[in-house]
Amino acid sequence: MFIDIHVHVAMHSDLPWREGGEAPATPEQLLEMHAEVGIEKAVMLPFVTPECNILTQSNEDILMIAQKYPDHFIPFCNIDPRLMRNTPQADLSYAISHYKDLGCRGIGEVTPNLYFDDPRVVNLFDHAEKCEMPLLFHIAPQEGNTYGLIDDLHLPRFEKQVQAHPDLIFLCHSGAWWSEISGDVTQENRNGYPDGPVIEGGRVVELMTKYPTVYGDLSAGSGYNAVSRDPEFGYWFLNEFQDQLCFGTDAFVVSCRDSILRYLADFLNEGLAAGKISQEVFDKIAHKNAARILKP
Amino acid sequence: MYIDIHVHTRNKPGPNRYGTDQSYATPEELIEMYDEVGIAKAVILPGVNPECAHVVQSNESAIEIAESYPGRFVPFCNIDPRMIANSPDADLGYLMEYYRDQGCPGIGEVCANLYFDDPLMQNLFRHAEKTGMLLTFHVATHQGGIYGIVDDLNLPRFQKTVETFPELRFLCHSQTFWSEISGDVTDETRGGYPKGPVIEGGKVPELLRYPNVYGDLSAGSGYNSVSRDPEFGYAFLTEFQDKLCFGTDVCAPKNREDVLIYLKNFLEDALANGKITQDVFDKVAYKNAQRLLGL
Repeated sequence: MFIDIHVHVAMHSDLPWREGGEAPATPEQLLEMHAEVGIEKAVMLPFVTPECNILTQSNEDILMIAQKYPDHFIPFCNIDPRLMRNTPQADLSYAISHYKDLGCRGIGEVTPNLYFDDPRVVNLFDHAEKCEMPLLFHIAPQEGNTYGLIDDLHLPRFEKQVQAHPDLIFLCHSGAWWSEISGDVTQENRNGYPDGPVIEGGRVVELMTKYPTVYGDLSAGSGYNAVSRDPEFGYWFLNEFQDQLCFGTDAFVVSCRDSILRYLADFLNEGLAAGKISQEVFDKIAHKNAARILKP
Repeated sequence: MYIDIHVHTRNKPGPNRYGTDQSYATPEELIEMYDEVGIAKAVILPGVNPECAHVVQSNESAIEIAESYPGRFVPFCNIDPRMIANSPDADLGYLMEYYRDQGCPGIGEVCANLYFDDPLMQNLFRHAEKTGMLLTFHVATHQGGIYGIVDDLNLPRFQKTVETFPELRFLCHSQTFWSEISGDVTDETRGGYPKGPVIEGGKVPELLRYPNVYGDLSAGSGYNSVSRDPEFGYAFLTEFQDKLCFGTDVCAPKNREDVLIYLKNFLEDALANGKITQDVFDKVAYKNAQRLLGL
């Protein structure tokens, strides 16, 4: 079985997530897709932040889906750091506690296009840590024309925030995170899906080694690429960080059925069948780590 | 009868508005309040911009409410200028056309805390003009610690925007707009509700002479601008009788004691005392809104 740490879903909208694209998957469509690959539970990440999409969702929309399918969907709330007057003094715990009490198990996907050390973002981390809510985020390589928290090559700003918030669980996601698995990542390829052998010295390995609060969200093409671009390295990585990695898909439209819904599941199943990872490692990544993090 | 050009309501009101003991009024609560005072119809402005809310609302929620109470609500969509790609080249017209087809004749309340001449904002205005949508906005005095589109004293950035987009109809709102009704507004008073006589030379009368600038008289700010100096207020209502719209900015049930009735009472007193004509009253109370909203 799998717990999917990262999905997006909309109750009813025919407006595509992105221009020219498909409309979001409905809960019913996702349930059907999840059944095909053995996903028994999934974390829903509402789109609250404008930079990320066409469609704005509310946390309440996501809670309604969770109420309708309580055995399958786990709600996160999403708290934009500019919420409540666009100030680093905003008492974001007020909103976070409200949604925690309503059953939200974390915050994310955090995608405003602000620097990791912008005082408003630091304020969000402060309150997330205080409220004991894990935080899932997307990294952007620059300001403007993209979404996500901004960092430079090798993620120095993120590391400082990890150090400043030792009790906050970070669920790390996106191309600009996973490309840092290899020591040869460059400014040019950091936001993509670099191919080929993983070179020693990658920041992902370093950050996950140094900080037990840093978790890898293996969803999307970026997470799958990180472990599959160099399969022997990938299996080593899964073994080494077996307590800090979570299975995920980032499925958000029906056409993901043929790609990210199954890419990582297939890779893990094959790794298990070929003896590259143990049943214990498989179980931890597939669902046990998520269950531990998401425990109320 | 009245049309309220400016209201906020939520089916799921969420936690109490921070620092208060109430959350948003539900549509049912709002209709009850409206029935008490003769407001027949209202424009719902969804809270999409994070700066302005403690609970973000979707456009779909505003549309659903309007569909649930036919004839009572007109939904606006709210398009954040950072949407789609956080880029001044984003095709926001795509979104506007989608929501216009869903029955939204306008955009707002635009509260993103960016400058009027930020390329992201200019892109929003460009697409709003192209799609023929109305645009309701809140002005902020500065960036950070506040919500609304940022401008300096005397609104030079807004004025340039008005000139750049002559076909875009702006519904102007907030303290920082209405305090400019008086020529003596200062950096210290512009974000509040200045009292006392209105001094000649205010930017608001000057701006309202642009054919595409309209006044949204909602909230304490709109009410204050016409009531702080009643004789001026009556003359102002009469002069700009084709450019002003009644509004409340009700956000919570407890607003039944203040913004729900303040402006309404002022207009009715003015009519009863012969300070404004029935024609002026009707235009401000609902006819201008009817025309703008295409009702």
